[in-house]
Amino acid sequence: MIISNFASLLVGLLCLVVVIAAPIAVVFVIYKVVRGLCWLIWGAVTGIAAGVGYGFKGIGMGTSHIYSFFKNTVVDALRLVGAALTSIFMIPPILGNVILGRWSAANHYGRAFEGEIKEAWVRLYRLIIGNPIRLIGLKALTEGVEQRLPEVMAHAPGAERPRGGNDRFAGYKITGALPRGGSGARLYLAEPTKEKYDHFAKNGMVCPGEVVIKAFSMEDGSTLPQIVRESRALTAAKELGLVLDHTLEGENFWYVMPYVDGKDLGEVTREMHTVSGNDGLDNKSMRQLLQTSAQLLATLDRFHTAGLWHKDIKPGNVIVSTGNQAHLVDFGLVTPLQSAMTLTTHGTEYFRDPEMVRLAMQGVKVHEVDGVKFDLYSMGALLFSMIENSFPAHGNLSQIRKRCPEALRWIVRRSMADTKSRYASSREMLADVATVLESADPYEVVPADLPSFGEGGQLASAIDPEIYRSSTPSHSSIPAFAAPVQEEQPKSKSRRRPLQRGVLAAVAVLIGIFTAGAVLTATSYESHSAMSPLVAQAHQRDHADAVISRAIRTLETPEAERVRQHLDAHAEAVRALSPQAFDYQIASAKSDAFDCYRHDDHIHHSSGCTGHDVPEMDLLKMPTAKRTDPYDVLIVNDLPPSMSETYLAKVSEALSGADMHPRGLANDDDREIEWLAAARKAAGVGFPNDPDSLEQLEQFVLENEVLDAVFWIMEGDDEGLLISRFVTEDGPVGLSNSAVDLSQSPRN
Amino acid sequence: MPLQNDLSTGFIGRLRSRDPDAWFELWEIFGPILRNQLRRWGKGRIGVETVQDLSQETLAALAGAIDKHDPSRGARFSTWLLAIAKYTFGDEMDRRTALKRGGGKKPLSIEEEWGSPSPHPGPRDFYEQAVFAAKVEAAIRMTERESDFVDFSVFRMRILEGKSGREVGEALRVSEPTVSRKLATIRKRLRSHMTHIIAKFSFTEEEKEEGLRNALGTNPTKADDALFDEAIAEIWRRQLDLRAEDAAFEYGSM
Repeated sequence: MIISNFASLLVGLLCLVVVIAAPIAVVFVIYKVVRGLCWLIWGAVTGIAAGVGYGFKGIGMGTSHIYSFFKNTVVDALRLVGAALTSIFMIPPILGNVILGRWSAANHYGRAFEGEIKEAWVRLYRLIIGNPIRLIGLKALTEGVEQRLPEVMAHAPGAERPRGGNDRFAGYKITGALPRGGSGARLYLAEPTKEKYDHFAKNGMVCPGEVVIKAFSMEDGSTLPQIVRESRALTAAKELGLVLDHTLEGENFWYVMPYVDGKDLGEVTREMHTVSGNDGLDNKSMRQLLQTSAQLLATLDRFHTAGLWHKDIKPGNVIVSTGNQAHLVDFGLVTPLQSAMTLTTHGTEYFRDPEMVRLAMQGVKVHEVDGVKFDLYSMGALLFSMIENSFPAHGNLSQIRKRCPEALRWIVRRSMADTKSRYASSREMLADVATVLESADPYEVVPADLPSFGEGGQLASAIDPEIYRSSTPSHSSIPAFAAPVQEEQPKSKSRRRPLQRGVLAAVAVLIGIFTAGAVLTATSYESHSAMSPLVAQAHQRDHADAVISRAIRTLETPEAERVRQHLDAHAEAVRALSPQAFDYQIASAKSDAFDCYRHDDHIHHSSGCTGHDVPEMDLLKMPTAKRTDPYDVLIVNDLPPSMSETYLAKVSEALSGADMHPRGLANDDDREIEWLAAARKAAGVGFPNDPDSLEQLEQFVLENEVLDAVFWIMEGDDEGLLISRFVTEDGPVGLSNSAVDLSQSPRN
Repeated sequence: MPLQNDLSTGFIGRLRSRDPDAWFELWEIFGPILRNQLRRWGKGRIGVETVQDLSQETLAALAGAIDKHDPSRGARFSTWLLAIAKYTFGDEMDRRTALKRGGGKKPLSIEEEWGSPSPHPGPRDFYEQAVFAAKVEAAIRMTERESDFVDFSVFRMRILEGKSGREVGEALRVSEPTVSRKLATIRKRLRSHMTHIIAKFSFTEEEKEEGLRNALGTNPTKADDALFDEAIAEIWRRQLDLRAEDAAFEYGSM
C-alpha cells in the first residue's frame, strides 16, 4: 500500500515536471530559432548595405575615373590646338627676322617654336595613347614613356660637334660628348693631337689618351660668375693633376681634364644594394664600400694638403672606374682654404654641413672657417648614402638602419658630428676606415678599436691638422703621419697594436699610391694678350683674390689703410644689402684695390706681386690720404620703398661700423636734401654705367666741403639685381652689381 | 631659468629684427615640417622643386607676417606656422588652376579635403605631432652640440638606436655603470633644452604643457627617467619614419 502510494506520488511529480518544463523548453527553442533568424537577416541586411556601399563607391570611383579621362582629353585637345596655333603665329617672326638678318631674335623665336611643337606632340601622344590606356587601368604601361624616357632624354649628351666646329679646341680632336652638368658648361670627349702630346711631354706631363674638355661659352648660356668660379682654383687644380690645359679666348673658357671611364658612385651604390638585398650591403659590397671610402679619403687628403677645399663631395661627383678605383671629380666649387672670399652656401643639400650655411649667412670669410671639416662632413654623408642607399635626411642625427659594422657607424657619426668633435683631418678619418677595412671581419671591430678612440671611453687627443696641411703630398710625409699616432697612444692595449701597425701601413700605402699618381706640374698660363677684356677681367680677379688678401694684410702704409677703409665700407654696406652676392662683390672690390696697389711701385714690390700676374688695365689712382677723422658718406637711395625699409638701416649701420658717417638719410635736413639733389644732378642720366657720370660724381664729392664719398644703391633692370657704387673724391672704389654683370663696369 | 614668455617673445623680437641666426634656427627646425606638410597637401601634384620653392616662399611670407604677429591673440605657434604655409600653398594652387582650368581651390578647403574620418590621427593631429617632434629634435641637436661626443654617442646608441647597456659598454669598452652615468648626464641636459625649446616655440599655455603631456616632464623621479627615455625613443622613431618618407620622395627624384 505504501509502495503503491509512493509510486503514484512519483508519477504525479513527474507529470508536474513535464507540464512545467515542456513550455520552457519550447520557448527556449523558439528563442534560439528567432535569434538565429535575426542574425541571418541582420547579416544579410548589413551585407547588402556594405555591398551597396561598395557598389556606390565603385560607381563613384568609376565615374570619377571616366570624368578624369574626359577632362584630360578635353584639356589635352585644347592645349594641342593652342600649341599648334601658337606655333603658327611664331612662323612669321622667325621668317621676318631671318630675312632681316636678326639672327638672335630668329633664334629666340625658333626656340619658342620648338617648345610649342614639343608641347603639341606631348598632347597628341596623351590624346591618342596615354589617356585611353589610363582609362582601361593600364597606367603602369605608360610610366616608362612618360617618366623614365623624358628623364633619360634630359640627361643625354649634348651635340657632339661644338659651336664653332671641331677646330674650336686647338690641339684636341673631339670624339664625343658627355651629359651637361649643373654648371652650365658643355662637356666633350676628345683625344689630344700628336703636337699636344709632344707639348705635354716637353713639359714633363703625362697626358692620357682620352680627355674631357669642359667648355663655357657666353653664347651657350654660361654666365660670368660660373666662369669666375670655375677658374678660381685652376692653378691649384693643375698642380693636383686634375687639369691638364686651359684656354681663355674671346668669351670662351675651356679646360682639359683626364677622362675617367666609369660609373658615378650613386649608380654603383644602387647596383650594390640591388645585389645585396633590402637589409643592407653584403660582405663583398661592404668591403668595396670601405675601399672606395679609403681611396676617396686619400684623394681628399691631397686636396687638403694642397690647401684646397673641394666643397662638393657627393655620389654624383665620384666616378668609380674599372678595378673599383674611385676618382673625385668636378672641382667647380674648389676653394683655397685660406681664401679671403666670403663663404658661400654653394654645395649640395644633405651632403653639405648645415653649419656652413649658417656661417655663410653670417658673412664669415672662408679662411675663418675650417673647410677641411666641412669636406669631412660631406665624406660622412657620402658614406651614409652608400650604406643606406639614401641620403642623410636628418643631418648629423641621421640613423643607419641597414646592416653595417658598428665601427663604421661610429666613423659616419664622428665625421658628421659637431665641428668640435669631428675628425680633425682626412688622415685621421682614413686611419679609422683603414682599421675596419684591414680587419678580418669588419663586424668584429668596435668603435673602441679605432685609432681615433682613446682610453676610458674618451676620444684620442685631436691630431693637429696643421702638421699635415703644411706637409707636401709625398712619400716623405707618411712617416710624419704615422709617428704621432703611435706616440699619441703609448698605452694602447697590446692586442690592438699589431692591428694598428697594419692599419698605419695600409694608410701609408694608400696615400702613397694616390700621391704617386698625382701629376705635380705647374704650367704657365696662356698669354693674356688674346683675352677679351671681359674674360681678362674675370681672370684677373682670380689672381687678385689671392694676391690682394696677402697684400691687404701685410701692408701698413697710410694709403693701404685708406683703401682698406673704403673697401670695408663698400663691402659691408653691400653685404647688408645682399649677403648672397657678397662673394662676387668683394672679389670686385679686391680687384680694384689690387689695381690701386699695383699703381704704386712701392706697394707693388712690397706685396710681392709680379707684373705678369695681371694684364695691364686702365688703372685707378690710389686715393690720397688727406684726413683721419670719420668719413662723411652721402647715401643716395634709389631702392623701391619695400626694400628701403628693410635695408637702409642696415646699410647705415654697416657704414657706421666701417667708421663712416652716413649722410642723406634724414628727411628734415635741408642741407642733406640739397646734397642729394646736387649728387643726382651731377650723376645725370648715365649713372651708374657711364664713366662720365661717375667722373662728375667724383667731381661733386671733390667740390663738397663736407662729404668724402657717395654710396649709391639702386635696383637694376633685371629682377633681383642690385647695383651699388661707392665714389670717393679719388674715384669709384669697389664696383658692385649683385648679379655680377661685370660688363656693366664703368671701366669697360 | 628665464620665463617662458620672455623666451618666446625674445625669439619673436629677434625674428622681427631680422636676426639671421634666429631665422636660420626657425628654418632648420621647422623647414622639414613645412616641406612635409606641403608635400602632403600637394598629393603628387607638385614635385620636389615646387615643394622646396613653396617652403622658401613660406619663409618669405613668415618674414612679412612676423611684424604683424600679436601673441596676445592666443594662437598656437604651430597654427601660426601652418596658416602661413597653407596660404602660400593655396596661392600656388590658385595660380596653377587659374592657369590651367580657370578655377581654384581656396586655402581653407585644403584641410577639409583630407578631413575624412579615419582610425589614424587626423591631419591636424599628425601635423601637431610633427611640430612637437621637431621641437624634440631641436632639443636633441642642441644637446649634441654641447655634449662630449662619446657621452652623446652613448645616449644615441642606447636610446635612439635601442641598444642595451651591455652592448653599448662593449662597443665603447666601458662598464655598464659608466654607460648609465653618461646617459644620465645627457638626459639631464636634454631635459633642460626641452624646456627651453618648448618655451621658445610656444605661444599658448596649452602648447607649453606639451612636454608634460608627452611624458617629457621637467621634474623627474627615477621612474620618470625610463618613461622619458621611452617617450624620446618613440618620438624619434616617428620622426625618422617621417623623414624617411620625405627622403624617399626626394631621393626618387634625384
